[in-house]
Amino acid sequence: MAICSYIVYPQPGSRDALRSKLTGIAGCDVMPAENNDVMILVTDTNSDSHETAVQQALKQIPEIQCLALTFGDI
Amino acid sequence: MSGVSRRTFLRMAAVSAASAAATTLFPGIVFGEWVHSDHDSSDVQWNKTPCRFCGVGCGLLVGIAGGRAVAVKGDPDSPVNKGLCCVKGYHSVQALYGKDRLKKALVRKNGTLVETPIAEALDLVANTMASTIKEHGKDAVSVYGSGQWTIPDGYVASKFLKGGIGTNNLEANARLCMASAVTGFLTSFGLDEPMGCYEDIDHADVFVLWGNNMAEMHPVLFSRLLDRRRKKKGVVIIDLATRTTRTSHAADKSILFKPQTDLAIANAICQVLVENNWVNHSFVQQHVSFKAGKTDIGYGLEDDFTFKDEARAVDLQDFQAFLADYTPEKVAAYSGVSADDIRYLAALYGDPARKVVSYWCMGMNQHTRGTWINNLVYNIHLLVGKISQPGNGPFSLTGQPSACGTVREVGTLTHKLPHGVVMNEDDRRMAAEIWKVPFERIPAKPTHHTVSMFRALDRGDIRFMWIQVTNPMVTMPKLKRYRDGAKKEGRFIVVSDVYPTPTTDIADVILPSAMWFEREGMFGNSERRTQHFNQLVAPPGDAMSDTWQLIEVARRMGYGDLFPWSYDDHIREIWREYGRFHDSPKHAMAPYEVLRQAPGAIWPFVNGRSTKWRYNAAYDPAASPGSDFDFYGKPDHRAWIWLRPYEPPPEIPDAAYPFWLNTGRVVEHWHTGSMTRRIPTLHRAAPAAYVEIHPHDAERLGIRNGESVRLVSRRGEIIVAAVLDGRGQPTVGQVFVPFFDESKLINELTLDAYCPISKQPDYKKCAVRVEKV
Amino acid sequence: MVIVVTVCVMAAAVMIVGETLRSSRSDHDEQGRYPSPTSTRKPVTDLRHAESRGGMPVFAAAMVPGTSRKGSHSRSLNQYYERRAYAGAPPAIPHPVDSYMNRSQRCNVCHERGGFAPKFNAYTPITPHPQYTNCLQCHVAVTEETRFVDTDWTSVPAPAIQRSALPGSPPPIPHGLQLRDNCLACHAGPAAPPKIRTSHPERENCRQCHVPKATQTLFDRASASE
Repeated sequence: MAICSYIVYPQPGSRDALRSKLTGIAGCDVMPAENNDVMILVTDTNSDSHETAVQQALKQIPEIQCLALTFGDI
Repeated sequence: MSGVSRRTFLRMAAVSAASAAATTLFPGIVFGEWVHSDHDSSDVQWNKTPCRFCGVGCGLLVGIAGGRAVAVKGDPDSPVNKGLCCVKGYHSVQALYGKDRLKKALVRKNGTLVETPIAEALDLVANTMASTIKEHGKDAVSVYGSGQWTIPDGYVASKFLKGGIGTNNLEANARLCMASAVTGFLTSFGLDEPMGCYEDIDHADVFVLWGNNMAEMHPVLFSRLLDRRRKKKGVVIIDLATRTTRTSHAADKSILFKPQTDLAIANAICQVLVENNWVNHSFVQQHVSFKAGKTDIGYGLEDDFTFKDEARAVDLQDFQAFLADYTPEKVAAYSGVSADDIRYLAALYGDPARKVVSYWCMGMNQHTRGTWINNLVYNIHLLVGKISQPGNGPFSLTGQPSACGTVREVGTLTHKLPHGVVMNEDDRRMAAEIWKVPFERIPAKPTHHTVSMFRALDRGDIRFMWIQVTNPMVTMPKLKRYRDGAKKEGRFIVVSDVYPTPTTDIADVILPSAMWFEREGMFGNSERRTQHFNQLVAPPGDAMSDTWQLIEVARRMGYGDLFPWSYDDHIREIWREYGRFHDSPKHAMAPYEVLRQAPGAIWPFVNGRSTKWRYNAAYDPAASPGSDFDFYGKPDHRAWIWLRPYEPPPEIPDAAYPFWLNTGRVVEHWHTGSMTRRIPTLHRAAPAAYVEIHPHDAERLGIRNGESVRLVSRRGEIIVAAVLDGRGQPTVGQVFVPFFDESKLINELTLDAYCPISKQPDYKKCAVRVEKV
Repeated sequence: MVIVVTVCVMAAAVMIVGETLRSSRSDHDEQGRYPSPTSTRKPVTDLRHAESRGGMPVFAAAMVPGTSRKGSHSRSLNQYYERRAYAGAPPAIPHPVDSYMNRSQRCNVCHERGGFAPKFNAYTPITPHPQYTNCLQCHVAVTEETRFVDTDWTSVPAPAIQRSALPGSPPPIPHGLQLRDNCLACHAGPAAPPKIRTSHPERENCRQCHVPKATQTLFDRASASE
């Protein structure tokens, strides 16, 4: 149900791999920075179970060094 | 217009918050709107091409990197746009990359479309075409193309149908957009297409726009008008229209008239010119003849309607007597234009010190008296001798990139050949000789114009139709009849296109096409300029150019000897063969090698030079030397002034259907939106069709801005959002709906009445009622 | 409203973290340039100005990032490029277009000279080509965020700010100049993105020192004489 945004810090050297993994999750939009490794992640989910699934999927991505919530209430 | 939804707002806020936070952490960090390719800006190669969209024919420079188009600039070397584009042009290359691009052939099997190898689909098309001819005759198969066909597409279609199969069942959607312009030129001058060119803008003092919202529909030329006005004192722009638009606001004067009364206004202008003796008598005596034609000529609403005009010679006195019915006062009574404004217009045309250009497009062409109103505006220019000179002339604009180049010059219409008409034996002999086919094979009788062709499909006289680069299931007037007809049992519809549309929805076979610079080709724009483009990127999947699709099918049907070219050189060879049809100073085309290099060339292209002003001996090598003007299109070497009266339209608002319905375009979308709606910037700006209603009418009906209303005509209805404060405002008693939206098909409501001479339907006038829902 | 408050709190928190992080960094950015003295430090998201007007929400600061009168926020280079389909494309219009603007196209009343626009709580970006007045020919509004059909569009990244050839020498112009030959429109004034704002707007003859990079190759007598 929620819309959240995050700043995502990848593990060094894994920017592109992380980007494609995030893009593959339903409900996730990625805006990579042009001149920096970080990217913006927007999650837009349509139910609580969808939100939970997205959270779980994010937790299982080893390329994420840090995920900082910038918008939304979870 | 719709506001931003709550969810959209939240997403925007979410992105803004993240981007703000990131900017704080990493000053200077950049997030682009677009997905970045692996190439960088130094890899971009710039190549020239004409724009894919309207008939203005802007020169673009398309940036290519890594085999994909990535950016657009206006070509500063193009004399058309001089480096400026419009929002469609700047985003045009994004039209190649919609996610649902057709990449494989699809064949309907048991009701569903199934992906099929392209060779197999082409076999099926050829076999069905052959078996239909065997069973029902040559005139049971047809090809329906468009003014978006490249010149080679149209040439191959004409040769295949008229020279190969031997049927005149070849039409193009340009019939719906500029057929009246063609018949206007032919009846007044004997030769099609404008005498002047866009350079007229740089010399003119007065611009009169006849029912033409140029600020939105031909924005690049409109910007040239504004530029001229900015640079020269005293330049005026007059907007003569049925509704208030951005053009009206930018013009020096906006004059609103009631639908159809443009006929009377043009005659009234002539009346004032004659009355005040502002006629250029020496020009008229030397270069003009007067003719009268038939009157009360009907509207083509019946399936078996036919009409043939006859010219009767008359003189200036007869013309003067005819004009007695059109004094400014008499015309003011039913046109809604004051007698003063009519005299003001006449004074602009009549002032010998001012150069005047008239522009028009669909307002005059999509008109049940379209040929007449074209004639009448020529009458004005001929009476004062303001024609065929820099800055002086009537100029008919077009809406499609190659309506002129392909449909008019190649002649992809039932009665046309690449040179001349099928009715003329000499023209048929010329075609038979160049095509190396038996003379008898080219039929001498035209078959169906567009509306008649779709009626024949409905009746079953036509069984097979191959539609290329157009979307008739959005654009045909009185749409339901023609959609139901096309879906009938025993009809076989092939559609070549780049995206799914309401027309591919009814197809039995869909062929994926290579679009624009995914293949080599040429377009011809409104000012007789032919522009070549190279193949710059590879087409996706099995997509193939329309030219090559036609050749592949023709070869399968045994007409391979007509198309002996290899893929590598076929465009050049087609151009050379086609050039033989126009090999005279009246229409000579520029050589292939010139077109490849230059930002276009204007025909007649003689001795290495473009002819900017036809019929003027100072510029036109075909005009007889020693004369000043030579209207050599007519046997008497004169231009013809026609006595054409005001006649009412076939359907007029009444108690049951009290509103005029006008349809048209918006700047963001081109034609039926099948390309422009897939361009994010354009879709976001204009996501859906709407109906513009005058606030007084809305108040009376209790309709609020943004509310859905039902529009109903005698033929159909749609539900659409009302806009009271949009970019345009119709007059009281009129509504306007753009036609780009396939989910709000305004042509369910329009009437299939047409100009009896041009056979072009009128999309600008029918009667509807507006209901709250 | 809960969410709006959250955003403000989050933005403030991030800002504090950002200030702390940056204080440990050198004064030079990664390209060896000093940050522009006019660049600002605060986030653009401030939804307190959001209000509703005639059914159309006006996202004052959120939709029209500019620099407020107090200089508290400015539009970033990200936002500058977010409005474009590719570098060099005409930007979409980020603010609501009312019927008067839509018909009259008198955009230059604000965009020719710039200045503060209280209506949008933002400084107005200046057009580099005020001689064109059929503005909506190229610049169109955003009336909704959806797409008709998704797109496979990609483009090359915007040209990066070029390094100076020598320490202290003027950097070359990395982009084309067509319709953008008034440098100060984007590179000076409060509406200019700080990242590309000039440190010396008083010097107006820009191309005296900054020249376009027309080729990637170096001079070579043999190929130059071809």
